[in-house]
Amino acid sequence: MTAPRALHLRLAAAVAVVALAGVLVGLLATWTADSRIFFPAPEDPTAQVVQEQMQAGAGARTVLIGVTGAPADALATASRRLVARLRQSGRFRLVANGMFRPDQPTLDWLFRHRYLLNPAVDPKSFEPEQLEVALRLVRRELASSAGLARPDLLFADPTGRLRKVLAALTPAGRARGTGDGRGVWMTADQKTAVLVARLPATGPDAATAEALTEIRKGVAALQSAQGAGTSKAQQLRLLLSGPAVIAETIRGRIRAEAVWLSGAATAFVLLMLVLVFRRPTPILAATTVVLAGVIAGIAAVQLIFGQVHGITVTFGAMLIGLAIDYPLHILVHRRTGATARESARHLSPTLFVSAATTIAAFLPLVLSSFPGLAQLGTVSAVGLCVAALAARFMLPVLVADPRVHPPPVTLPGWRRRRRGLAAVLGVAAAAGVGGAVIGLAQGRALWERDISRLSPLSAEQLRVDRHLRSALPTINPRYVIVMRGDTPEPVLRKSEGLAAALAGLVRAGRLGGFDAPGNILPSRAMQKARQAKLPDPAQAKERLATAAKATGFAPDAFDTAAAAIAGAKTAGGLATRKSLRGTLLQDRLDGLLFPRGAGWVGLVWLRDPVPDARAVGAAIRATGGEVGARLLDLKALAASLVAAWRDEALIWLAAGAILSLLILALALRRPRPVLQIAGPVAAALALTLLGAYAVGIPLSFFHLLSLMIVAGLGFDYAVFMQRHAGDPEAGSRVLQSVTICALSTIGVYSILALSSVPLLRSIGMTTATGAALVFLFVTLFAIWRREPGSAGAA
Amino acid sequence: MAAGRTDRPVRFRETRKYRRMTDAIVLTGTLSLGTDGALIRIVTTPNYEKAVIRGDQVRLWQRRDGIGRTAALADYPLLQGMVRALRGVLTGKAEALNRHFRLRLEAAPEGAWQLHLTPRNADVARRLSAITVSGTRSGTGAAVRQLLLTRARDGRATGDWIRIDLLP
Repeated sequence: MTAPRALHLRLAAAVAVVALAGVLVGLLATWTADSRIFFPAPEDPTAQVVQEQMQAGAGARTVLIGVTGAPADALATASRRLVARLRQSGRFRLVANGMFRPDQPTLDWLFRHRYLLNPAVDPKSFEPEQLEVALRLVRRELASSAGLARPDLLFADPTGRLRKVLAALTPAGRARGTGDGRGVWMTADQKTAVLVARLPATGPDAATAEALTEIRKGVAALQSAQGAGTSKAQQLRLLLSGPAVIAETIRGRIRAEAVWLSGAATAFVLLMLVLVFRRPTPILAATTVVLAGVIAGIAAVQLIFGQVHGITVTFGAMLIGLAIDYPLHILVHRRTGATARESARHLSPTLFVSAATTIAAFLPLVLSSFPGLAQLGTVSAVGLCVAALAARFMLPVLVADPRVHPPPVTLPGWRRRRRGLAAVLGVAAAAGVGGAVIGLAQGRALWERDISRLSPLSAEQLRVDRHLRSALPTINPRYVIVMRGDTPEPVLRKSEGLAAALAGLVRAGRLGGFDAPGNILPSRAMQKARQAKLPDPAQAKERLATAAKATGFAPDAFDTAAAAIAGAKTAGGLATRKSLRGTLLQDRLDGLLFPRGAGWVGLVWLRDPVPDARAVGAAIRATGGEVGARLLDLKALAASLVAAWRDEALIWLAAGAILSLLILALALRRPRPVLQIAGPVAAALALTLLGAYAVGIPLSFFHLLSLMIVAGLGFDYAVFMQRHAGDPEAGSRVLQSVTICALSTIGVYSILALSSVPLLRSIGMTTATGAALVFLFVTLFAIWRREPGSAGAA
Repeated sequence: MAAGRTDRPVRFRETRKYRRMTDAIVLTGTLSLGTDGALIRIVTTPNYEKAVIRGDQVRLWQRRDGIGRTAALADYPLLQGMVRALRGVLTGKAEALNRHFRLRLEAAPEGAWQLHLTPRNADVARRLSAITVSGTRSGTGAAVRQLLLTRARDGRATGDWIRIDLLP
């Protein structure tokens, strides 16, 4: 026998090594919370371009800000003050709360190129009669409040070009939400003022957090400006949403859940071990074995994938509930007087069959083309493998003390109630068959089709997002038109061709509008054609002087306008992507026109109302095919992606199930024990499915993944029960250890079911329910088989 | 000053002189203070316009039956300066004027006086060089007769001006 001091030293060393490994993995691993790795990416290159742009483009950097809790006028004031403060902070690329309000650099750019931008200058506007009408309008404006604002602008731009250019950049739908002339975006109930802010870059960097803090501070300042006398009901409140906030929320939530769920699961398993062993040595040894498995699994994920997702960590930590079975079997199964080493040697064939069948179920996932699924497969397969090996070879070295025994567990007196057992098993079998029949009959109807339901956002957050968006001009997220070219110029020309085709639908009221790169920056060809149509500067100057005299202005009052026409006609007058830099429009154009590979891509987004795809397709074809644009239906694309993703996941899971059964068949060599093991497990799985169907939960891949865990547990329990069925003393200890294992597992996955991340919650709920059922069926079946006269009695 | 003149509208005639116009534009209308402190400026000729300035916002109506639109007063620095001066003059509160302008009082013959206002706010000062308030002293106090606003571009006087005569 090894001296206790040496044992304690070994245990201390093992704990230290595992703890050090844990710290190293924690420090060296690259953590991610980007849930996209769990979901499919399109294979079509055009669709990929669109998805990438949506994920990293201007849309992904958008923060929606809602200010609510006060009367509409107070909200409008708050909106204006907040917009001014946020703009001044310099933390945002753009802050808007209503009509398109360009900043000074943008206004300067629009003013400089006003004669060449959209819409085209009407050549008649420089006819003498038209000029006289325009100058009378200038006079009228000088007599109004506009005359108090920027009278110089009226002299420099008498034909109102800047106003027309600004109107063209303000989509028709945009004014709808500007609540009752208050000039700011408001929801229809006039209870929330809405602002849009755009961050300079995507990502979980400090700038995002600082920008969000700036918004919170801004609203806090507005609240304190309201004064202490304001009742709580009348106090301004902040609502935050939009892709940037949602991404930040998800990141934070996944990070927090990974920590608390892993901690709670570990604490629960420790509590179980304390209740069972009541001595530190086996508790520490078993925990060390399990944590070694989890840490090895996470380290393997880091080595293979170069990063570890928060969901992988949580899922890996939950394997504690599964991996704890291995040390428990060895410690609880020990006969009186036997050493842990002898027990491990005696149990090792059963332990390895049990572990191999479970690992085999997860192994094919490693090959999945979705990195998230491959991470889950890797963490499970490696984690369980290392835990099983550590239980077999490391645990006996750490716990040699023969005095360690769990307190006796009284077996239930079910043995005498054979008929009752048979009835329960009969019902289970029938329910299992029923579940299988429904599964086959309903087929794909059982499946979750809406991938967004797996989003970690709460219903309240989704409601806030919809509420805030309702105040904004809406881009239809379903359709996008994609154009390609070698340089920006051909893409812009295609955009112009398309705009001409879509304008027909807009005029007919069938299309609300569209955002195209050519709307912001006309092609060089278009600008040159417009230059050619501008009036001769000398003639324009003369006509302006004549009209000025007739309307009470000095003859030279509009000389700056004539000079601007002369400037617009020169080569330097052309608006370019380069000259656009530093303006608010640069961000807008970059989202619609960007380099990809060797060429350039342009996107056209449609605004509601949008006609069906056929009408838009017909408009594109009507351009005679010269446009070379392609209409993408992103909704249909997402649906087909989800279907493809589901099919692939199903193939991997089926491969896992077959591999598990093959290993079982190879180990047991006869069909009868294989059936005796697989039967109750299959019934429990089918009943779990039936339960999900009965309460109306659509199936996702993650439910099936949970069923794989349940199958792994079931095989583990059933293999031990089956192997030791002939020995009453061993059978009693098996029941004891399986009960402890099952309680640990059910507890751990019930903790996971408390997660607010739907993906983790669905795994937790399904596994906890399935684990309870599989434990019940396997146990009842084992007891029933042992009864004299039963069909399955050995 | 004209304290006590807030309970009823004050008629005004506003003359806007632009260097680049051969004649001046003349507006007439009324000025009043609402119970909530809002300044209400209604132009009746040559074209109707109503402006209600409350806090840092201005709400404008271009037609009697039209829908108003709201704008930030900060977008109209000249109007902002004009409003601050008018509010101070109409309420007779010197401290309100002092908050936004540097003041210099100048006496003139026969009981007349002139108060020179220079904007403290940089944005306002870029568009408005100065305001000269002229008035007379009578037995009951000081009566305001006229405000003269000298326009500026980037802080330099343009030669354009606005004169507001408060009519008896």
